[in-house]
Amino acid sequence: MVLLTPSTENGLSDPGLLPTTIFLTPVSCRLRSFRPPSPTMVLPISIDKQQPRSPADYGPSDLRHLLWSFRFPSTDNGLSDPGLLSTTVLSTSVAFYGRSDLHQQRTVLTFAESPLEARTSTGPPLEALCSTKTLPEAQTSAVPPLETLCSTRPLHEAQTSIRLSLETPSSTRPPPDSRSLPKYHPYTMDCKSLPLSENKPSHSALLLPRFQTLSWLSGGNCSSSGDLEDYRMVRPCNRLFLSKLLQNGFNRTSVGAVQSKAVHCPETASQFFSNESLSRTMGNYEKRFPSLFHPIPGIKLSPCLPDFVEPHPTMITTLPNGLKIASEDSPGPAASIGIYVDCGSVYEKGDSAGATHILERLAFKSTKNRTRMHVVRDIEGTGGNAGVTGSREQMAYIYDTLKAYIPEAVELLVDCIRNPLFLDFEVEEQVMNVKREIDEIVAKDPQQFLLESLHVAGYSGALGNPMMASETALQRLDASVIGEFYFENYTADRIVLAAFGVDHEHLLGIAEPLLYDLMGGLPVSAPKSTYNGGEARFKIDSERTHVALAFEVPGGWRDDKNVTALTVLQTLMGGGGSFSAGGPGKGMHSRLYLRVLNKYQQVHSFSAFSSMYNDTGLFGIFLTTGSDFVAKAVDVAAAELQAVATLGQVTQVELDRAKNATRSAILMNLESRAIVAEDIGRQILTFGSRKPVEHFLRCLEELNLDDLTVLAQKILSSPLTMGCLGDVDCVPSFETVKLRFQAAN
Amino acid sequence: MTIRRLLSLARRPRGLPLARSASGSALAAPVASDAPTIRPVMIYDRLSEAVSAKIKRLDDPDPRFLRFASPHPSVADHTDILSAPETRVTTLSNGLRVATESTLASPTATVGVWIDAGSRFETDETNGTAHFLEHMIFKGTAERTVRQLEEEIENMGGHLNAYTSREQTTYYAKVLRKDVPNALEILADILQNSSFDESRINRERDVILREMEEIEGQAEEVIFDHLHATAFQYTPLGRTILGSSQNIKTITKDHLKNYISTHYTAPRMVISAAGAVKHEEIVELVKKQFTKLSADPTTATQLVAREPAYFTGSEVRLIDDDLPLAQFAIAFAGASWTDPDSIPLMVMQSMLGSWNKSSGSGKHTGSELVQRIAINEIAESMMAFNTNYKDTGLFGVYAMCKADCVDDLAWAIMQEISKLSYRVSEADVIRARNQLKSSLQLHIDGTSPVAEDIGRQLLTYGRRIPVAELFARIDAVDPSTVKRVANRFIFDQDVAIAAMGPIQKLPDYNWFRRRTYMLRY
Repeated sequence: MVLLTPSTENGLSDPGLLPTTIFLTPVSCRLRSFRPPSPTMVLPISIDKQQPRSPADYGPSDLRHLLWSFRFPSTDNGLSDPGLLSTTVLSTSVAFYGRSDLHQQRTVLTFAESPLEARTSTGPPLEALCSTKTLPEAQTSAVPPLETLCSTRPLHEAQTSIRLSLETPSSTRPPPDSRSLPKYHPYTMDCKSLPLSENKPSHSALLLPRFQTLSWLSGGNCSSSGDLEDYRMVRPCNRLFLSKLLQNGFNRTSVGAVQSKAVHCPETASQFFSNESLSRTMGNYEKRFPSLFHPIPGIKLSPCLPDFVEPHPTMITTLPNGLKIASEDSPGPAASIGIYVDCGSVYEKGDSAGATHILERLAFKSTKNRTRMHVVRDIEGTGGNAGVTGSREQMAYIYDTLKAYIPEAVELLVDCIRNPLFLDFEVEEQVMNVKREIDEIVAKDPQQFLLESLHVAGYSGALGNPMMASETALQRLDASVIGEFYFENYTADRIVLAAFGVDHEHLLGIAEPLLYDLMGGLPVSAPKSTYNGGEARFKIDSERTHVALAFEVPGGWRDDKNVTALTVLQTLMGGGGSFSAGGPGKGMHSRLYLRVLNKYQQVHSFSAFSSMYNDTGLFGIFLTTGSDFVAKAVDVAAAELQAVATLGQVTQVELDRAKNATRSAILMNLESRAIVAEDIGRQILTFGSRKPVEHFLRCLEELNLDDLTVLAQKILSSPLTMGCLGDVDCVPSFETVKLRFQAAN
Repeated sequence: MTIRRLLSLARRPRGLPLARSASGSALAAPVASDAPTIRPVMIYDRLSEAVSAKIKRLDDPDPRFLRFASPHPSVADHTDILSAPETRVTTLSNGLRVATESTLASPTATVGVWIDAGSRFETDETNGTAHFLEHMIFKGTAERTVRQLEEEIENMGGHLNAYTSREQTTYYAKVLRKDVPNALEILADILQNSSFDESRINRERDVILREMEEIEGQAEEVIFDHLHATAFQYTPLGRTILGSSQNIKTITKDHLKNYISTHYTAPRMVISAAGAVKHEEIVELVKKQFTKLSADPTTATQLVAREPAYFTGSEVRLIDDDLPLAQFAIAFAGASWTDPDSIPLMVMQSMLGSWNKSSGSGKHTGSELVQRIAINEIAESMMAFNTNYKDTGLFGVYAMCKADCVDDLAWAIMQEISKLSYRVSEADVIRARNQLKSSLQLHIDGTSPVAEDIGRQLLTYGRRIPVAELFARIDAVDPSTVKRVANRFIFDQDVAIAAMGPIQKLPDYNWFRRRTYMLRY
C-alpha cells in the first residue's frame, strides 16, 4: 500500500505540512503541453520512451532541469511554490509517512547501486523499518552531492525499486465502538526488491534523482515506525483520509487473497496480482504482462474440444403443477435461459386493456425478495443480458449469461416472474414512459404502427385488442389492474422455462425448488378472434406515405406445412428498402426487388410481410413511397399479390432460390443461442413439444409450385385489410382495392 | 395529487388485491387471511393498514430466491467454459495464413478473408479507395458478371458481406455446409479477378455518395469521424473511411487496381473459416485458388511505422442550434492493440459504462457516471468507447444531451474519468471485469462472429488469444492497475473533443484539459 499526499487537497499548499506528509509522484515526467497541430510535430520529451544507457544520458544539469520542471499536481492550482515543489517530488514506488515536524529526526533514503542500499542519517536505521532480508545495508553517512551520484553510479544497474507496504495487523484494528479517533499502532514496512524489466531502465534512472531530492532539498522526516498518534498533526481532513486509507489496507489484502484463489488458473494468475500496492502509479500489470503478441508464460490452457460434438437432444420435464422445464445442452461458453408465458394482449378484456404493454415494461422491477436496484445489480454483477418481449400471444423473458452464472440467472429470472410487486410508483413511471412513447412511434416506426392498426382493423375479438395501450387505457391502468391481470395469467400450466446451453439435470436442480409450488390456474380456453378485414387510415403531415395490404393466413403456426409454405412465399416475394446495406444474399433477386424496386425509382421500400399467431395470421405487402406515386404503387402491390396466386407465374428457379434461402435462414438463425432457446420455449407453448428442425426442412423440401399457388389463392380469397399512414388522400379507396381482388377471384 | 391518491386508496373497499397477488405461492398467500378480521372503521386506520401491508410485502424475503444471485459482484470460476474447439493456423509459402475453427455438428459455415488494409493506408488523394473497392468487388469478375455472381450466391441461400474500417477490410460468406468450397472459390475470384468495369464504377459513385448522405444523417458516425479528424490531424488515421465526395467522384480504375496490388498481399491476409469446415480441406482449396496474390513481404506494421498516427490534443465544434440534441465525444489517446494496457482500458470502459434513456436499469446501474447522469437526467444517452489501432487508440466518452445540460454533463463525465486515477473500488473493478468477460463471450454467437474473431485477432495480435489467457489478463486488472493505467492515459493528458449541435454551453478546451486531474488525492 502506498499513501498519497492529501495535504494539498484544498489546493492551498501548506509549507509546514507539505514536505513531510506523504509523497508520491507520477511515473513519468510530464513535460507535455498542448501540442501545436502542425504536420511536422516534435514529440514531447517523454522519459518513458528514452533508453538511457549511462548516466551521461541524463547529465546532472539535465537532471536538475527535469526535476525542476516536474509538474506536480500540488502546484497546478497556480500557486506554485518553487521551494516546495522539489520537495514534493518523491519516488514512484516508495511511500512515506512522515511526521509533520521538520526539525526532529532526519531520515534520508538514497538509492544507490544494486542491490538496494539505503542510507539513513540520524533517526531509526532503515533496518528497523523494513524487513532486513531485502535491504542488506543501512548505512548512516552523509549524502554525497547529487553530481557525484549521477556521475559515478551506473544508473542502469540500479534496477531495483523498493516497495513499502503499510499494514497494520488485524488484531490492532480499532474496536468499532471506539468513539475517539482510531489509534494506529506501529506498523511494519515490508520491503521487497523487485527487478524492473530490462526495457524500462528509465524508472531507475528517475528514482535516483528523486531520492536525492528528497534528502537533499527537503531534509524530510520520513519516519515510518512512529506511533500514529502523531498523525494528529496532520490536518483533520487528511487525518480522516489517512485513516480510510489505512483501513482500506486491511480490506484490500483480504480481497486480494480471495481473488487469487477464485480465479480460474490460480498458479498463473496469482503472480499477476498486486496485493500490496494501492498506488495509482504502480499497478503490477504492465511490468509483468507481455504484450498481447505473446502468450503469458506458463499459462495453463484447457484441452481443446473435439471438432465434432454430438448435438444434445432437447429434454422436457413437466412438473406436477403443469409447468414445463426444457433444455438443450451445448458446448459453448454461454447459455441463454428464457421463461415463456402463454399470455398477451389476446387475454385482455375490458378493464385490463393495455395491461400486456405495461406488464412488459414492468419486467425485472421490484420483487418480493429484491428491490429494483438489487435486480439491476444482480444482472450487472454477472454481465448478463436480460430482456423481455411481449407479443399478442406470448411473453418472453430472456437472460443470456456465461455458464458459470446459470444458477444466478435462473434464480433471478424465476424471482422476477413469480414474485413481482408492481409497486405503485414503478407502475406509474412506466405508464408515463408509455404515454410519451406512443406519440413518438408514428414518426419512429411507421411500419410497426401500421401493423398494429392492421390487427385492430382486420380482426374482431382477441387479436383485435391493441398491443399498444391507448390513451384511455393508460388513464385506467394502475398497479391493481396489472396485478390482477398478472395473477390470472401467470399460472404454472402456462409457463415454460426453456434454456439452451444448460445441462437438464443441473437446470432442474436449480429451477424445480423455485417453481414446484407455483399454483396452476383454471383452465383457460384460447380466446377466439375472427378475421373480417377492414380499413385503417391515418392522415399525418409527412412527405412519405406508407400503405399495407394484408390478408388472413388460415391455420397459423399450428398448421406447420402452411407456415413453411408461407415463409417460402414471403422469401420468394422478398423486397426491402431501395437503399440498404449488405452484399449479395439479402434477397436482391427476389420478385419484389426485380419487378418493383429495380423498376420504379419512386418507391422507397416495398416488401412482403407476415405476422403469425397460433391459429391465424396476416400476410401482405408493406410499401413506402412519395405521396404522388401511391396510387400506382398500390396498384403494383395488388398485381404482385395476384401474380403469385396465378399458376405459371412463379418459375421453378425462383421457387428453388426461395427454398434455399429459407433453409439457410432457418439454419443460420439456429446458430444463435438466444434463438434456439426461444425456439424451444415458443414451440412448447404452441405445440406442447419441440419439433426438430428436420421436420420443417422436410416440409420445405416437399413444397412445390402448386402448393405455393394454392396457398396464395387461399390467402387472397380472404377479405382485404388495408392500412395507410401519411398523406392518405392519394391512396385509392378501400372499396376500389377490394374490388380488384374480388374481381380476380 | 398526493391527497387524491390517499383518498382513492382509502376508497377502495375490497381492500388489497395486491397483497394476495404478491405471490402465487402457498407460503405467501396467508398474509391477507392472517390479518385481523375486524374492519377498522376510521379512514386513516384503513389507510395505515394499506400502507403497512405494502411495506410488509417488501419485508419478508424468501431465502429460497436469494441463494445464488448477489448484487455484490464476485469473482466466478470459469474453468469449465474455457475449452473451445482448436484454432488451427497454417501459413502457406506465400505468407497467406489460413485459420479455422471446426464445429462439424453445425450445418452452416462462414468463410472469409480478413485483410490488414483499410483507409489509413491511403493518401489524401486516394482517400476512399478502400471503401470504394469494397463496393466494386461485388461488381463482377473476368468470369462472372454481376448478375451471375449475385444469382449464384442467392441460389445457394448464402450471404456475401464486406466491411471496411480504418485498418481492416473484410469479405466473408455465410453458407450451408455443402457450399463452402463454392463460397471460397467466389471469394478467391472476386479478390483476384475483379474486372472493375468503368460504367460500373461510375454507377457505384452515386451509390456511395448516397451512402455518404445516410451516414451523415447518423450523428454518432459524424461525431466519430470528426473526432478522428481532429485527434489524429495531419496523420493517416484522421481521414474518413468513405473519403471526401470530391475523391469519390475522381477515383479511377487505376486507383482501385493499384490499391489491390499494393495492399491485398498474401502476408497481410488471413483466410478464416468457422463452422462445418475441415482445416486440411480449406488449406487445400486456398492453395489451389489463391494463387495470384502478391507475396510482397511489406507488413502493415512497416507501413504504419513509416506514417504513424500522432494524437493531438485539440477540438472541433460545430455549433448548430437547429439540431434538437447536443452531442460530443471526449477522447484521450488510448492503447494500441498489442499494448498490455489495452485490457485494463477495456475494463475501464466498462466501468464507465453506457446508458440511454430507454434502458431498463435506469439509475440503479453500478457505474457512478451512469448514476450521475440518470439521477440528474442530464443526458439522453452516453457511451464509453475504447478503440484500438496499430500504434495508438482512442479512449473516451460519447454523449448526447439537451442543450441546457451540456455543461453539467461535461462536468460529470470529466469528474468520473479523472476519478479513475484516484479512487477506484474493488467492487467496481470486479463488476466491470465480469461484464467485460461476459460481453466478449456472449458476442461470439454463431459461426460468423467466430470467423470474425479469428481473422481480427490474427491480424492484430498475430495469434488467436485463448479464452483462458484473455480471462487471466482481465482477471489481473485490479484497482491499482486501473489507477496506474488511468495515470498513464488520462492523468494530465491532452484531450480531443468533437462536438455538434446546440453546444454553446460546452466548456472551453482548457476547462476540459484542467479536469484531467484533480487538485486532491
